Amino acid sequence: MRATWTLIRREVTAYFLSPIAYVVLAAFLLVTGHLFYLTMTSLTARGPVGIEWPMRGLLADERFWLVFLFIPPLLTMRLFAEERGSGTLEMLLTAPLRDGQVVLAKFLGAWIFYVLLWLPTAIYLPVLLHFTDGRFQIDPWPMATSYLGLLLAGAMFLSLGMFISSLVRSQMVAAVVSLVLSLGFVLAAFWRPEMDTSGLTYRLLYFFSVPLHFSHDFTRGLIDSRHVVLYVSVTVFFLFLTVRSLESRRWR
Amino acid sequence: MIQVEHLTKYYGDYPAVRDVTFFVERGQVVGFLGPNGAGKSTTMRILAGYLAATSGKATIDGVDVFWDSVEARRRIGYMPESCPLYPEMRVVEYLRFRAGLKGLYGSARRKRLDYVLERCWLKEVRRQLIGTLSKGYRQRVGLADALIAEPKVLILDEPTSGLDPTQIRETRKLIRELGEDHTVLLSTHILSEVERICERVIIINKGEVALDRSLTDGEATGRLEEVFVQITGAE
Amino acid sequence: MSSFHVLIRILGLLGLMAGMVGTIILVGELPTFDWDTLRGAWEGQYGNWVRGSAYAVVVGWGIALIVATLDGLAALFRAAGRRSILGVNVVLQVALAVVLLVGVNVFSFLHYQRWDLTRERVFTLSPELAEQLRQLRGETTIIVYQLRQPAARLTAQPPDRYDLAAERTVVEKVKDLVDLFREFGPQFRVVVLDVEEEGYDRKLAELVRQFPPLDGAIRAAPESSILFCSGRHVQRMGFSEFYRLDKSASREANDGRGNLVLLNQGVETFARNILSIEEKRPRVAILVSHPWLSTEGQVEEYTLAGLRKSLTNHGFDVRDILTNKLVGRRGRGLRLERAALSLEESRLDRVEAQLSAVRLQLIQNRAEVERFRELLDLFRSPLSDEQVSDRLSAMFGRRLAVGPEERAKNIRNLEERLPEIESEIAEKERKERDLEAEWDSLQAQESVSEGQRETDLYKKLAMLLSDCDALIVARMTLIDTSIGDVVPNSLHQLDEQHVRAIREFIASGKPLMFCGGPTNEPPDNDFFARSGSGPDGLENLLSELGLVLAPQAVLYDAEADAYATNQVLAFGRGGGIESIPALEFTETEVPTGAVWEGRETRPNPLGQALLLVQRSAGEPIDLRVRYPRPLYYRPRGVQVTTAASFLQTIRACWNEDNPYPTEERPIPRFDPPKPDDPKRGTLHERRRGPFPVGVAFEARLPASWHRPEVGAMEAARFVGWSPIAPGGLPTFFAANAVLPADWGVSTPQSEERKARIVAIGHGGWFSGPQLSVAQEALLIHSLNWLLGRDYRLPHARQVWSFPRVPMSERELYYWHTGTLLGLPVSFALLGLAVMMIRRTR
Repeated sequence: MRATWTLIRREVTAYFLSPIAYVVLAAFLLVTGHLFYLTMTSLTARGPVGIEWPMRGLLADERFWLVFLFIPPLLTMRLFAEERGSGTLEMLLTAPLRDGQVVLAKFLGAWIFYVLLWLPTAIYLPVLLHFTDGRFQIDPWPMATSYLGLLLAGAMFLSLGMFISSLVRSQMVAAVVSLVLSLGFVLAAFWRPEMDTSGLTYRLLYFFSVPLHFSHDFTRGLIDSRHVVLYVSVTVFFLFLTVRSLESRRWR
Repeated sequence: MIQVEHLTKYYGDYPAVRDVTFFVERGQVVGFLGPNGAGKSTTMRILAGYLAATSGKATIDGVDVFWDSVEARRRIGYMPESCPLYPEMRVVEYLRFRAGLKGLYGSARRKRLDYVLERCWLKEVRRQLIGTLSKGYRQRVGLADALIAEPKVLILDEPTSGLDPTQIRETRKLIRELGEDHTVLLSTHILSEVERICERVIIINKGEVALDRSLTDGEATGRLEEVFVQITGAE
Repeated sequence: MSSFHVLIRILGLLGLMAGMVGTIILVGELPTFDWDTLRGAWEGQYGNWVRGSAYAVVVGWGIALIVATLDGLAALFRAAGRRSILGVNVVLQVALAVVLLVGVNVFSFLHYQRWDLTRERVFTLSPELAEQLRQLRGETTIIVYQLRQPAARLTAQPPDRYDLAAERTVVEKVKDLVDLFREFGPQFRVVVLDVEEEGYDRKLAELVRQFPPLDGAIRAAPESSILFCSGRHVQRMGFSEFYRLDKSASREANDGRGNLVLLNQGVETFARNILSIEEKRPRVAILVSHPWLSTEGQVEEYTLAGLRKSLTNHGFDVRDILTNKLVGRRGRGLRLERAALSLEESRLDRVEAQLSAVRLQLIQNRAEVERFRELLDLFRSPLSDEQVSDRLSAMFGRRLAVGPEERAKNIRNLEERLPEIESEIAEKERKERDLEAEWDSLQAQESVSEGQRETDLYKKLAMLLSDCDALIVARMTLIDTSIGDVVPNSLHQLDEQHVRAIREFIASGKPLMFCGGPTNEPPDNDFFARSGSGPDGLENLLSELGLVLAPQAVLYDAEADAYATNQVLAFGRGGGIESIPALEFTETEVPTGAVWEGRETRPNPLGQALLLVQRSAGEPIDLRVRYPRPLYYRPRGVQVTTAASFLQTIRACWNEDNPYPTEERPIPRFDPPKPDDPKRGTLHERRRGPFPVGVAFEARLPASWHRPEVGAMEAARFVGWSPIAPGGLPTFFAANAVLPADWGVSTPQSEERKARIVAIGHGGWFSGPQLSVAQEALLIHSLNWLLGRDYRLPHARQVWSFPRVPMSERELYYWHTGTLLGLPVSFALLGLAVMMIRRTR
């Protein structure tokens, strides 16, 4: 609906009008730039050194995930907490918009900014794919699946951050709590990477730990339905919870 | 236009609004009077759709504010007491945004924008960032927002609080003008304001309606203060 | 909230905390987490701390749960008083949402799908393979055994960074493949056995308990391997058999900048290992002429123990067949009789001989004891000295007189000697018992007793060969001509019956590896002249198939030099072999400069495979032998389309008719052939190298081999010749319609059968207690080719290397700084610009 679209537009603009977006952008591009440099080094190395799946160089690194973890909380902390704090939530909730529209618009606003965050990395593509003679010398499909995975995984973390933001009043608290909860999806991967891959423990760990999803599947051109279902279902779940959380505000 | 029947609101165990009933006819300007914490804001919030009542019923133009909240809100222009705005936006941007939320687009939006900017004396500051405006101007922006979609009902919570005397006078004049075409429900704790602007007064005390009287039957104004003190001071 | 309410909630929180602390302690203290240990903890089996924690867990979580439920219910009831429907509705909705979320994800965890979107479908098994694997019944356990050290090198060099990088990469690929198999179905269970991991010993013990043959397989594994275990069978596949390193290509890749080039041997090999796990191990028969030359020979230079070890480690069973039986001595040498004996039978003979020797000794010893006892009794008897002297004289047949002194001395003597002899007897009796036991156990073996009954040589050999899948004939001949260290050909000669059995073996489609050195014997030597030499039946058989064995030995220039400089002895056994130039692998025909002009031929498959093995090492292979024999494949009437030679010598050598030093020519030397030399222009012309010394070919069997009537007809051509029937009996028969016209005629299309033959012109290239890695490679790959297991030969059909993007230093620099600094800085500047713009009115 057009009302939703108005809100989305405002949300995205709000990002670009706040300094934190640029800080996040710069830091993020710095990290990815560095990792891209390392990947490039592997692609042009001498001797028996190299990298088989270039996207892995970017996305399977611990440093990347450490930085990535911070981004959704920073992007979502202001979504509701700020409005609560300054009182503008009241204005939003008294406009002729359903709660669901509000939540959706805010989520999409954050998500669109997140997509725009990744857009500059498209600059790496000519190198990572090595486009010559009218053909991609390096398989482009892993690239596509990596980005798909990033979009969906990002949606999941953003929805989590948004929900937390809708519960608390202070942006700082929202960011920290989101960070801690997001850790649950990330930490498991760094705990015991060499574990026997046949046990149930590993399978459960693998189900939840997002970095493993990327280093194993998305960066190599594999799409696993488990990951997609997880991301989508959790995103929908938190969107639903956020709507309920907003509703419950009216009951206070 | 506004029908409130047995409205009750509990914050946990604390009753903020208790069995409030009143009616506002079309085109009337009604004042909500009462001490701080009486339940005025709560009632208004319930009407505006921000809060849900614990029990009771309220309708705006026949539309139930609870069961048909979005439709009811379309008919309302609401301005809360704190007048919250987005400081990083310009005045026009904000108003354009609010108009969009309320379903106005294209040339209709542009026309209304010009109208409210004119009406609320915001023309000079149209491109200024809201964060840099004084309180008076912010109130006017809030008012402009309430007006922008041509709502049938205006619900204004303490519209003149924090303003300097000139601004107060101008705002009251504006409200009186608006009262000619809109139904207005405004709340205040200033008696003189009610006497000057409103046709009717509803006194709220401790969440209950203490008085509901028309001011046009030529009652002596001084009596109002006595009544007010009597009602609120006795307890 | 009332204070009571607050109290209850605090109680709940305390319970939660206690529960969490208790859980942490339990997880830390208990070895495993299941019902039994939990109950044990509750009952105090693990000590009081743990018991307390167990209580804390139950009580704490219990309280927390109760409080939470009560709180929830209370909230529900409170909400029930106002707008109840919606309030409860929300709670229910949220609960439903949680259930849905969990449910959807549990379902997706159990039933999921993976899509491989890579361009080359790297992560999917081919449908045919998938189909085959689906047929598997029962569980297969795949063990990834990481030895954490690179494979045994083919050369003496230590592993370099290419080897290490290859190892790392292959480990990852194995893990990927193994995941692929695990995804495939529950019939594959995968276990990783990492030598450096803690708990390795426990894991290994557990697995060995399940699969006993695993122990031996792991001990024998020379490199990190993948082991397939099912039931009682274990198959091993080395990592390098899965992805072979091509070191030469790695060094040269990307215009010399270097890359890691791995040859993917295909997942099919992997799958076949799984599917063939229940297959019987192929059995290789080794035909040797003397027990010393067998796999159980004790003499280091002659034994084939290393051969047996390598074959067994690579999944083959070994059976030795001896072609001679020791039946006595003849002058300086032994008298041998042609036979076909298994090792057990030969051992039986030996045991029998030893047994009879021991028994003879026992008889003698016992008689001696008897005698001594008699004498002792006599000396001890109360008879007088004179009477004793008389008796003695009667016993020994001459006059003996003993006095009391001598009598005493004799008694002492005898008393000393008797126990000695008795202990000797006891020892010999023990030995007799051992030998008898051995004899019994050997006799008890059905094969041995059956074999003893069979006296017909042909039937015996045929029986021994019947359950073998391949035959290796090893004939060690020349060892050092300067000192006449030569194994006589007469030892290796086979009887007609032997040859018949071998012919049938080959005719049934089974392969043969013939390793025979030069048959040149020292001239003017009586011993050799007497024993008779010349090509034997087996060599003739091979000639029928097209193998030409040169009657020469190859001498290297280096050897000639050694002769000249009197360093001959240094070239002897055990020393100086390093100065012999190594052989080379080849896949094309070796130019011979003889009459036969080579045509465009396909490369020899065995040679190709061995060249790849060489490329893995990155250096030439190290295989050296003295006196190899040139071999050629020249079948009659058949056009050769595939090159036959795979092993050749270097150039600096020549083919010598007489490799022995003579009076006229004590130092061997290459003399170009004279113009009137009859051999000039033929295959056996004396010339310089290189010479093919190893050939592998698939021969078309003469029809007479499997259709005896053809042979009969061929022979009959020489019978009954008459002017009216110039073709002999056959034409007579045909003319008179005695037999069908096509009976006994061999046509190219009818029932053409082939057999694979590998011939190497040296009989001792795999002698010794242990084979070198190069020898093993040659052996195993040859056998795989012979047995038709071509899929096991290394190939270069799928090459893998790291992707490379060509970029100059300048480009690299710009890309680097551009993205690392340029992007963040530009966005930071953009932000500043936006902030500034916003500030303007």
